[in-house]
Amino acid sequence: MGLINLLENEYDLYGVRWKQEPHIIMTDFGEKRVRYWKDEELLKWHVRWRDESSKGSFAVPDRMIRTRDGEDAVFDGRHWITLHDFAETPFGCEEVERWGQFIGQLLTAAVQGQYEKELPVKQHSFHFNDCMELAKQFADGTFQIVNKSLAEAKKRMIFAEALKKKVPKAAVPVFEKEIGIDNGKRIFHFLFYQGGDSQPVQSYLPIRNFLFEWLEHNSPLSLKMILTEIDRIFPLSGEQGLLLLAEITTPWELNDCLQGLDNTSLEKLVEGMNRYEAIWEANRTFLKTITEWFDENRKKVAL
Amino acid sequence: MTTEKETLNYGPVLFHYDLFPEKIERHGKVKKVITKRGTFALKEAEMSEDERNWFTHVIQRLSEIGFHQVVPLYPTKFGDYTVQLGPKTYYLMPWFASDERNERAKDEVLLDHLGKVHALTLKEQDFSNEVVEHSYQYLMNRWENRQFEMERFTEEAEQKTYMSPFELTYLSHFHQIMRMTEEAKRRLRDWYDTCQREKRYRSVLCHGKVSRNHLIFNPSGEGHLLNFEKAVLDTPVRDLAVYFRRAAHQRDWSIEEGKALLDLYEKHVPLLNEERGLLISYLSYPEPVFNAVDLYCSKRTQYSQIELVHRLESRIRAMKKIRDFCDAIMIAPPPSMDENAPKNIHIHDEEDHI
Repeated sequence: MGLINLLENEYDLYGVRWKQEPHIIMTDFGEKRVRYWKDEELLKWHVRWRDESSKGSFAVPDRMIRTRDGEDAVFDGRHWITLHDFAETPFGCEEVERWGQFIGQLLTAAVQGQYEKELPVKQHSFHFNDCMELAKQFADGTFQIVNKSLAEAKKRMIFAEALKKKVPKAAVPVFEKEIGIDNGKRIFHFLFYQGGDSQPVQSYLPIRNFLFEWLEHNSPLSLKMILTEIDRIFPLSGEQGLLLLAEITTPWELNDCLQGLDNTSLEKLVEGMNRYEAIWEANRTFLKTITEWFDENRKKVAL
Repeated sequence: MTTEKETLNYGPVLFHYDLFPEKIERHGKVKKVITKRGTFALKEAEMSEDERNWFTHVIQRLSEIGFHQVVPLYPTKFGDYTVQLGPKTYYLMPWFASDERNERAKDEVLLDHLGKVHALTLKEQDFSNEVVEHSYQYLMNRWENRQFEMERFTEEAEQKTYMSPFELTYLSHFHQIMRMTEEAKRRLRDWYDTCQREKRYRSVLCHGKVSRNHLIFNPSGEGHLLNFEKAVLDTPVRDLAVYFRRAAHQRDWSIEEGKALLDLYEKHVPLLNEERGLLISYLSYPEPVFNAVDLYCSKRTQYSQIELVHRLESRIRAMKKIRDFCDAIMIAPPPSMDENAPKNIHIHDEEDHI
């Protein structure tokens, strides 16, 4: 029995045909995405975060459509197969409230779900010494931005460590590796979030990257607005807020900046340095905006 | 006719069912959703997570224990039975058009179904003095507080030189209202004493909002119950009191009809003496009259004096019918068991119990 037949039978669908084999099908209920899973535990995690983070929210992740028997996946002998809604119209960034609700709900589900107990998760850590090694050849004083950024990075790293030490027992939530604005699609007027199928990570890095991407597309004010919206659903004033702030303070971009430098020719080196400076400055603005928001929020609480 | 705004409003809900509405009609809290895939009833409610879980459990459990005369819930494509959007909860059911031919039989079918649900879920509870004591004290305190409020309203009205028509009407029935209050309290005490003596009480799955509006007929004429949002495990008397109190407000309702309906119900669940007493207690307490006074006190500017007086008079009339009904059911002999009635109505088996 072919995959199309299997899907028709298991999901009570009619007239199924490929739109984009092997991922997108056309059905009598519209376009659907097909996902394939080899690891059942990973599949279960993806089912769970999608189900949990959809609760009560006007944003809907691409949950697994249930089979006629109520199962979240079918097995074709080789893979577990899941079926999802599919949309192509981008949601955009205009509706800050909707994005904030979704990220807040995602955070709530990630913290309450204690997903780290279910399957092995990757953990990221920043290695300053590796960066120092990479920077050696550029740190002779010719390139001020490198020296300046190294000094700043060290301070930030110490600050981030201090923040983490304040909350040694706080559980770091587990997320999908990448949370991106492009994954937000529009169905009716709500945010439909198309998740992925990657191994999860136990880190605030995906949220940090999302917020940075938000600032790339929007103003610092908009970044503060989305933090406020997230805070309504998932309070950032406590331990989890400190963990997020620690992740944002950690100079992750230093590694990217240094990796992008190429001294095989002067032209490439100058180009690399310009890029370095741009990334570094963008991250400074990002960090400044975030810390301002945390300060403003703390003052509000204190008042 | 459906507006684009309505489609957008309900779009996020209907998306969970893969439905695209061609037309949405409002019928109170229910929306009639017409789609290419058929016509559906979408109910909007406010429920907490626990209430939602309980509600879906009740619907599924009723089917498992063999009661199929419930309007079914359609699962979403994600396998949920409700959709939560912000503070609102939605659930989808088939749309059954109202059939006026069955209107006359509605009360009979309603009481018959109620009896079946109660019989299937009836359970003699392990006696808990704490539970009985708490239930008794809670209700008695509430009733006494309400009685005190009404006495205060009476005293204030009596001090006025010129009473309003509403106050005059209320005062002319005050002693009768208080007699019924005392009767309700006495019956409640009797129930409490019997429970203490007999060390028993029974619970059933109560619908919680028994009403003619919560029974509809499918195209083949079979009655189905709906709206189990307030379902609760409690004494069977709870549902009966809600039903009879409401029924007594209908202009053409008679005591004979009430007795016949109670007999119909008792073919499924014959009431114990103390339950009958508790039913009389619940019915005797003139809460609807007190509510009319509350409305007068809080919203008298929103209604005309004549409207408020009519409301009060209608409730007093119903109260009188209730009093006569209580007298009638107190002296009525216990009904004989119908041969067709279920033989085993006490389901003590844990496996079969909600």
